[in-house]
Amino acid sequence: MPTKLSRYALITIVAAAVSHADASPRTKPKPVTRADIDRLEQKIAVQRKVIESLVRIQKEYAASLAALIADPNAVPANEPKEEPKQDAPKPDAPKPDAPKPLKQFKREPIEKPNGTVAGKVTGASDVYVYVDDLVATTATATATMKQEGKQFVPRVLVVQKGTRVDFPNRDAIFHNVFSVTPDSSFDLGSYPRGESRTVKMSRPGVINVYCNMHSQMVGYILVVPGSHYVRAGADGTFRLSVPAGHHRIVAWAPNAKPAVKEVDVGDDTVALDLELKQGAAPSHTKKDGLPYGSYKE
Amino acid sequence: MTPRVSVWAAALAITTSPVAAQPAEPDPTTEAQESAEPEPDRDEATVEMANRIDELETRLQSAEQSRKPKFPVKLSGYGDLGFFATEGDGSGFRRDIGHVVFPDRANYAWVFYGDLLATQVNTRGDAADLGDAPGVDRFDSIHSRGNPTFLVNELNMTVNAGLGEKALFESSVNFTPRTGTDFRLGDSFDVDLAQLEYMPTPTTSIFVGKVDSVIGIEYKTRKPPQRFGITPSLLSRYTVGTAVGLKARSKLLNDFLIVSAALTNGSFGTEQFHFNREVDTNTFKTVSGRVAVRIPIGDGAFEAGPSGSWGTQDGVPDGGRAMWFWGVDAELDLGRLDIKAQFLTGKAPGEAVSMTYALDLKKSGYVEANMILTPLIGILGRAEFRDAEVSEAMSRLYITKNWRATAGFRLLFSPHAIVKVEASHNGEYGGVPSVPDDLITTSAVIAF
Repeated sequence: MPTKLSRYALITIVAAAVSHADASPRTKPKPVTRADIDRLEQKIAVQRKVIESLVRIQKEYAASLAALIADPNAVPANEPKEEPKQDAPKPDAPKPDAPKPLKQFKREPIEKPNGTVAGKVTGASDVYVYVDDLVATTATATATMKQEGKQFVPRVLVVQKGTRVDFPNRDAIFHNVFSVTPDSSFDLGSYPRGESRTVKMSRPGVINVYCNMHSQMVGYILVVPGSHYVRAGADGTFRLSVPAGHHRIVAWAPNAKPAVKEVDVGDDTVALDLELKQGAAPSHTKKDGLPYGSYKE
Repeated sequence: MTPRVSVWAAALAITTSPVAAQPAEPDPTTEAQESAEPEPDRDEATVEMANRIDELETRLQSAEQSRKPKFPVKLSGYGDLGFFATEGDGSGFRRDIGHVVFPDRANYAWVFYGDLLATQVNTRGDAADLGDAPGVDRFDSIHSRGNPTFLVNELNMTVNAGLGEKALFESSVNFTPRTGTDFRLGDSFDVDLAQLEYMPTPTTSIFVGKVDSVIGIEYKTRKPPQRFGITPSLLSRYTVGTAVGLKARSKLLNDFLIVSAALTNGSFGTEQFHFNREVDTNTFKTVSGRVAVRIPIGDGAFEAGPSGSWGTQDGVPDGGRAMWFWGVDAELDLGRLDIKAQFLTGKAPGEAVSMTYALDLKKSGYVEANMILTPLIGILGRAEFRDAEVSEAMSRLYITKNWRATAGFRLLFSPHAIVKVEASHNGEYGGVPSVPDDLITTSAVIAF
């Protein structure tokens, strides 16, 4: 549930549901059984759907209203727009598809001045630096991670939340792309050269991508919450444009524990050095949990 | 709470929410933050409920994780259905009646020429017909007598069980429906793999049980779903079998060097001339090994290396001469094009008292090219030869100087549905009379 609004709605609803079901004060917490969890899970799922639907309607209403007040020619936020297809979003570049729709809510848009966070990340390669606490609206861009030469290309892909990632097969053989990352798992099945499958990256976090047929194929997708991210140079230096305010800056690299620091950004450059410790790639199994075996490719 | 009540509650919540009350936020990015912070004036019960939901969600996730089996088991397998037609009577050899062709071998009671397994019609290596050689009672599983025949080549059931991330148990059982004779059932099954693989490192495996071969490269494609074509090569009978024992394999120097070794009861052969047995008949075991280098080339790789085995032949007492094989193999895998070649020679001493067959594999080899034209269509070609003599004491001698040219194509609808067609011409050389044993064979593989 992405917004504050929906969170509050969910809390209110569940509070009402529970108070209705059990009005007496709790004296001793009952042990929670699996059935309780299942029941609550079902309730949560139903409530979420209802709330999401209502939030969408309210947003559409608000957007239309704001558009009428601020700019009679504006497009409502949820109206589908044609987006240019791109291979990978350029880091630190303004994302025309992310925050724009919400701007239409504003009568008098106020742009906070942009500051800069610059520094160096040591201890790892393929490093990305991003702002963890700036959440943009869901992106509609697409990115691509190919299967080529029994490898994922690029091996590391960073996308904004909501980006659709294409997985085209460029090899002469079949591949089966999958991920078992909790909350972001998917299984694209077997498909040959020339075919592609797409996955929408809905949750921020790191998604490890594998092939069920070729154990050496490992890819990493970092889904960042917003549009403020940048790839560090080969020497680890980076320069990230960030709106003024207090922010959480994260440095990430494959197989390294992310380094997090909080900074106060004004309209000046803030110096920030971070250290990562990159380890070996963890072993992984097939999608069904079985080891690959040594050489059954 | 009914859905209808829920809707009203949600609507109430939304209309009283801060966002609804404040339609314009100054910062578009922060507006969409996934903040879980409650407002200070929120009711304590609501905060408690939020915490409870978080806790329950966490427990749900844990419950989901715990539902995943710690020891996953996967059942898979395939069916290999075929049709074939051969020249002549379906057998690949003839008897040298009266020692007319090989008078210098008249010291043997029976002399045969050609190749008993020249008419292999499926990936198992079953011959279309084993002929009617005198003095032996062979289980001729197909016995087509030269008639075109539909055939269920093989049904397979494979069970894999993961024992953590570093250990895998794999078993594979083949079922072969065949015609019975003399009130004996012809159907049979064989356990062709039953191995426990332990991977102490990602590049090293230790196997125990009935394990795959380490000789050459053809064993990697010994099963119908993996093999590009249908029939095995003429030398596969010495290299693609499975044997009971221990095996280790490691990829070193960033996969540049591949080393494997095995200690097994017998050899990795499949030919039923006493060159291999499930259970050993003598104390001394067979040692096998392979060393190869692998050089990346573009998206593919070139791999080449020698391999061999040495040990007391099954059926021969301890202290007898050793049976040995050695050869070299090479493979250039460029993705769409895969070229492989192998050479093998070897000897098995045999034993007159126990009537154990002897082998003199003077030389044998093949070159095979597989090419993927489109994701659906692939073609293959193979050229090969085998120069060998197999004898049983002084009673029987099989003389083979055989060459074979094979062409075929494959339709790969998916990894689960494959159709293959192959045609082979068998020829003889070195003074061995020609045997009419060309064949055409097909295979439809349905894997699950």
